[in-house]
Amino acid sequence: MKIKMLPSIMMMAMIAFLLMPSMQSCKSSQKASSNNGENPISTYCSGLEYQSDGEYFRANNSAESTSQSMAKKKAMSNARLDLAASIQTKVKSITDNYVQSVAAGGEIEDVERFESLGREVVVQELNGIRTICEQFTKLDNGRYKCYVAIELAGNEILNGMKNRIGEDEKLKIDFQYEKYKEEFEKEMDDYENR
Amino acid sequence: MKKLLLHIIFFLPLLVIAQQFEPEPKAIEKEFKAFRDSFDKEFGSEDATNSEVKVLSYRPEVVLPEWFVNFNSQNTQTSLGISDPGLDSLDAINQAIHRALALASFAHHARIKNVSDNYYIDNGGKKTLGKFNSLTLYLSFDSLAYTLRNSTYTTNGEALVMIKMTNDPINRIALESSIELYQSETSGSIINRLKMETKSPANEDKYLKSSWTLMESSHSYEISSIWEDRLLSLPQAKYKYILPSAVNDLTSQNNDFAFDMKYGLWYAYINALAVNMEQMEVFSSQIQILESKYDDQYQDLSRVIFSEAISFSISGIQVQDNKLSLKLVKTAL
Repeated sequence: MKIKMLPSIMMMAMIAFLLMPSMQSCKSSQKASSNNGENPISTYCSGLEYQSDGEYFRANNSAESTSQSMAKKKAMSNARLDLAASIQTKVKSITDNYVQSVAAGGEIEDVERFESLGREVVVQELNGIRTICEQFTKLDNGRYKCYVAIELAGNEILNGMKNRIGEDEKLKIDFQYEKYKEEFEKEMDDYENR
Repeated sequence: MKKLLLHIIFFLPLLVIAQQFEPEPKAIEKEFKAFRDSFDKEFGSEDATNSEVKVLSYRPEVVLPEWFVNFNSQNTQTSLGISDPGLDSLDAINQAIHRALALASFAHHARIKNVSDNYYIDNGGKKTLGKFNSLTLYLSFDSLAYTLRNSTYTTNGEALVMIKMTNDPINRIALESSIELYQSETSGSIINRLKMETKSPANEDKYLKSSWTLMESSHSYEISSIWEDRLLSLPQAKYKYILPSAVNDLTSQNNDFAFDMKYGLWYAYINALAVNMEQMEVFSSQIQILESKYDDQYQDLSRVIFSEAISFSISGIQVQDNKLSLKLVKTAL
């Protein structure tokens, strides 16, 4: 009897243990469904019009603070960092494609140097940023929340790259602007066609 | 053995639940200690019992003059100046004019430089902004001539002036001015340091120097003012300002940065000006990802830098509930 009882008690313990997380999730889902399971999320300065398209890189962000001006400063700083990150990803892809197409024909000598220069241009210089949305709210706890959206024309990045390469004696000899521009436009079209 | 297994069945769920709740107080304590360390680094360790508690009383209300609250420098080449409170009338007027000239110089042409550092905490791959530091420096060099348009001396012992720039080629005053605005926020607590300095040649080898410095946190503030190489003894009081009856009380807009006037009119005016100058549209910036592991507390540090020449006009002053806000318009250089 004892021998038979032992596996069944162990089985019950294991079942109880395994069921615990699912019981907890049932509880939380019940809580969520008290609001009919759905809560609308309203966020300022976001949506399609604030996303990157074929012409502009865009970024939005928000920040909270007890100081209204600090909330804006933090939101702007965060948005600038986001913008830089998305441009960095895009330009890396453009530069890689360009280098591949040009290097295949043996028309570029220092591939690594070119690639690193491309990244440097994007990470460091963001000229021509424009604020396209700014909205403040006051929270129940008395803090301010600032939402911002900023944009930077793709042409500014392209020109930045062109100028930087133009300053490099070695790279400017190999640089084929029209080919680079072609790759750039292809990547920007990806934003448009998403 | 059966008993043992029954105990396991009974206590195992409790143990799991307890594990889920136990880390929270520890996390709060850890967060508090980290924050307290940062706080002490900023202010120095201070025992609350050593602090002298002062209850400041309000001085009688001052009715601001119409020319002050209706001020608009767009296309008018005018500038406002406000002295510290508690000065004799001559010192007050001279200090107010000197400040008006410095502000005119900033409005005409200033170089703005800013470095903002974002310190991130990595919580299991999710980054949250733990600390934000921002230092903005405004620099201006100019040579100006002026005429005094309006002036008044308040019951707080402060002078308010409005000057108009002229093209007088002889009586020009060379002026070198700077404003530093440092703000730091750690876990919701803000410290603020604002300093304005001006230097103007008085004669061949002597300069007329003045400075005004504010150091402020959520629970304390300190203002020190130097005028003509003298450290001024400023009155310990709070101030109230109201609009003249002929001027309508306009409700300030959502995006205005309003500053309390309880520490004086100049306090509110220079804060509003510095913050609004900083918030003007800046087109160029640099992004630097500085460290992948900054220190034990913060795992990432990203830096945003901008530097630009600016020029602006003041298009309006709003006063409401003892708070002042300014409207600035960027103008062509």
